[in-house]
Amino acid sequence: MKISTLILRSMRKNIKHYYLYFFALIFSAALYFSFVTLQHNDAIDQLTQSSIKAGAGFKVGAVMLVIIVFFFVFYANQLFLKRRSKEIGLYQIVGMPKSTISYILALENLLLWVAALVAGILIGFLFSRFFALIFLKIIHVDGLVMLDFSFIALVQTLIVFAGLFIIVLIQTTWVVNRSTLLQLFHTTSNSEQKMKKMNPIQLILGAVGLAAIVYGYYLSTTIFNINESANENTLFIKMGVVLASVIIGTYFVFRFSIALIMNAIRSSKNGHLSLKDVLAVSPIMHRMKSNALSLSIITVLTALALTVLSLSSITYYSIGAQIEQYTPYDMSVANDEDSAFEKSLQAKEINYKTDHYELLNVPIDFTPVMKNEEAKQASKGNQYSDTIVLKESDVKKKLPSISLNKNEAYILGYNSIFQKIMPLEIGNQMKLRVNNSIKHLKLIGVEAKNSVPSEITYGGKKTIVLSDQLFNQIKTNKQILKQTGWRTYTGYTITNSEQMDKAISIYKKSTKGGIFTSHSKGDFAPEEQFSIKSETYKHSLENIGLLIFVTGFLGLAFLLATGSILYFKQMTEAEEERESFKTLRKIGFTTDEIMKGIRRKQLFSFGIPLVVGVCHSYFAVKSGWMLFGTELVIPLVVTIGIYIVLYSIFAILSTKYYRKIVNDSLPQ
Amino acid sequence: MEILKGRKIKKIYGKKQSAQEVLKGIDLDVEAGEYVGIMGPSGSGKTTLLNVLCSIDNPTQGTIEINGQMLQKMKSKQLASFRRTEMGFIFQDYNLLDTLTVKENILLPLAVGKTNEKEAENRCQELAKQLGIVDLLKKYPNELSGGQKQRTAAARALIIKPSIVFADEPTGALDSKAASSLLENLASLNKTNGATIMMVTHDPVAASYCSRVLFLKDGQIYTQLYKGDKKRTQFFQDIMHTQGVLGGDGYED
Repeated sequence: MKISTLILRSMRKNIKHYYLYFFALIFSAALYFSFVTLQHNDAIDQLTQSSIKAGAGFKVGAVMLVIIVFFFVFYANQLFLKRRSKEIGLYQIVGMPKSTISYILALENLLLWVAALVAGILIGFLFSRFFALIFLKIIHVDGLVMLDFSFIALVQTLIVFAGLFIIVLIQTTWVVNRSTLLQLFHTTSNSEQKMKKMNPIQLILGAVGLAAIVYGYYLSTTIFNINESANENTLFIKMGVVLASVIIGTYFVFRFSIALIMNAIRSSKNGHLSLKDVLAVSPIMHRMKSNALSLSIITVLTALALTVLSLSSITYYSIGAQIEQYTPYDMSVANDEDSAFEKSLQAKEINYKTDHYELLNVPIDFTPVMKNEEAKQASKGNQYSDTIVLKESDVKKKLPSISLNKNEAYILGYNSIFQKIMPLEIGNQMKLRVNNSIKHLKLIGVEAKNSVPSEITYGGKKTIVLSDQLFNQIKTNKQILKQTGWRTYTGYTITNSEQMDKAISIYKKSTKGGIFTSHSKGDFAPEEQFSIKSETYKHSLENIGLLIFVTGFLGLAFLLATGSILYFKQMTEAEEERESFKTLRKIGFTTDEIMKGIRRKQLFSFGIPLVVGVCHSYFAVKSGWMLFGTELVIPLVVTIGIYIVLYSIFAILSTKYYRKIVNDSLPQ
Repeated sequence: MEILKGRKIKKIYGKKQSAQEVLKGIDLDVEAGEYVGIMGPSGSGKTTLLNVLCSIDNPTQGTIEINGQMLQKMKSKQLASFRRTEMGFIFQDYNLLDTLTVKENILLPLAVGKTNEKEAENRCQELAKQLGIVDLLKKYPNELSGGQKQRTAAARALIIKPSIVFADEPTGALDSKAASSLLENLASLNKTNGATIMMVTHDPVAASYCSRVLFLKDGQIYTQLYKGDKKRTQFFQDIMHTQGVLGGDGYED
């Protein structure tokens, strides 16, 4: 018999083993190809060309995708080789040299890969259309993207998969060369070590694992707290410690803690196990040692995917609120340079509303209202910072709930980042300096919104509202007036949104694109360009939409990869336990009774990595979400919810597979 | 009292054209406390008969009654619970669960439903003592020898006090010493506990421990031998003789 016949026959015989691996390959190729097709699509390229970030996002996404695909294919091949170890052993027994076996496996792999790539690229091409639609939906663009078959994408996919193929060949050759006959025949039946009594060291390590995770969680909540040595280095060190302790803790939990708990449950039964224990607890304990590493990896990947997805959905969800905070009005006019603009608006019969503000630039000392010592320390030596001050009656038009007595003040623009790094004590006295006299101001409230744009507040700093009486008193001071760059601000709201485009073009024409000159003669350039709300919104939507699309795509890839690996694992375990199911059926347990135990095992196998992963990502998101957006709960719950639903599909598939195996184990 | 009553049992495998009649209408009765052996050359239908009798396989025709209950009238769920409460099983390849200790394996049939834990514990200890595996209770199957595994399987079969124990080639994978020790155990369980045992074997030594041996040939009962008051060695000679008449050479498999 020629080797080619042998290969074809063995492939036909082993189709059951292959289809899993084959599926993994097709899926990887499809995912990668559709992503790269999108990356090289002209229409999307034009959409995203405007920003360098967009192109970079796609590039980083493609690299991440290669890593995921590599991990996935590598794992699938490993499982595949394990399943076929008997066959490899048989070839060796009949005297085939290892080099020939590797050669056969390589040829088989080549056939599989070529077929999978062709199928994957076709499927990927169809999918890319679907993904493009989703992408446009996210960035609120209506329109059809025509997708041509991209040859660059094809070549890129082929190169990447050729590289992966070489790695898989090396892996295969290595496994074949390293293996001894004895091992090969025992990998499926006896790969697991027998259960040993728990010794004290394992007990301690189990406890250490839990402690490490709790410590990591605790540390993560303090990561953005300011302290005297706060700088980027300590931040990164802290992040590193959190990551390390959580990851190591996760492994220890899987390796020791869970076995510890299960061991306690099992010993307490003194041999009188229920069928659920027989089918769930004991097989899990049996495999814990070899499964610990892969379960930890899956957990960490799940946590990573969930964190990235949650953060990007928080960003996306918060676009509106963020823009509202930094650009509260449709259009802006500063220092009353607005005569031409308003006249043109009236001439074109565009309906609008204006809010007019008087502004002052006053040095204020915030340290007395700061809650934590670290923040006070940080501003030591430079307590007084120039702050934009507004008048109560002006602000009331935008924020009607504010009401002040003479020596009271309100802080605006106190957003989620400030809340985190600089908690304030409401009711304390701030200090306001006019010339050399100091006035005390009682802080009576804070507000995340602001009523003047970030161009006025030097990039989104806090703003203070004073009572009209006090404001007018300070205004008379020449020194203060002199150091005030922006003396007035007018915010325009176009009441009829259909006239928005017209209004914008008028605005640009009459204000040279929104440029105004400040009175200040300090370090800042006197000219400042004010942003237009709807344009900023569109721009952010495109940027952040791209971000959420790329992370969403990667999240999906993570989800599919981890879900499939768990599913493959369960399939393999189901095959291994087939004999046990047969025995149980013979001695008189029904399929339904057995399935109860199986379901519990699935709940554990899929549930524990998910629950631990969700916990990890919750703490990760909680520690830094305020840098990404203004809303935590809704995007977090929605993201995790969707993830759980998609993830459970794999658990359901796996349970179905088990039912089939249990059912088929006896003829009736 | 009759524990098992089989009437006109037929088993046909395959579809019409390639149909193969493995059991051709077997009538069979087993009394309480009997130790029945089933012998016959390969392909005579021994294991098929046993599987049909113990409801693991369905007969194409015919009826089986165990303890007065007609198996053919039961649904598969009822059958399963009937197997769990009324029958014990010993298989050639032990069929122990690798993930369970010896004790957990023995107690496995009690894993569903309410059983008095204390009673089960006593019974487990008693059986372990009878079978000489008390010291092994905490071990896992992969730490045991074949003989020890099979004695564990025997204890598992008897933990529920079954009406009848079905053993399919229980000594098939054992060396002669382990085999004879297991057979002694089974015989003594049969005698002291009054367990009814039905055993398929191709080994005349194993069969000689039985109180009655059925010989199958081509799906029919060819003849049967009673031990009566004979010595075991004498009974062994009779079995060898019948086997010689039946299949030409005595040791075929």
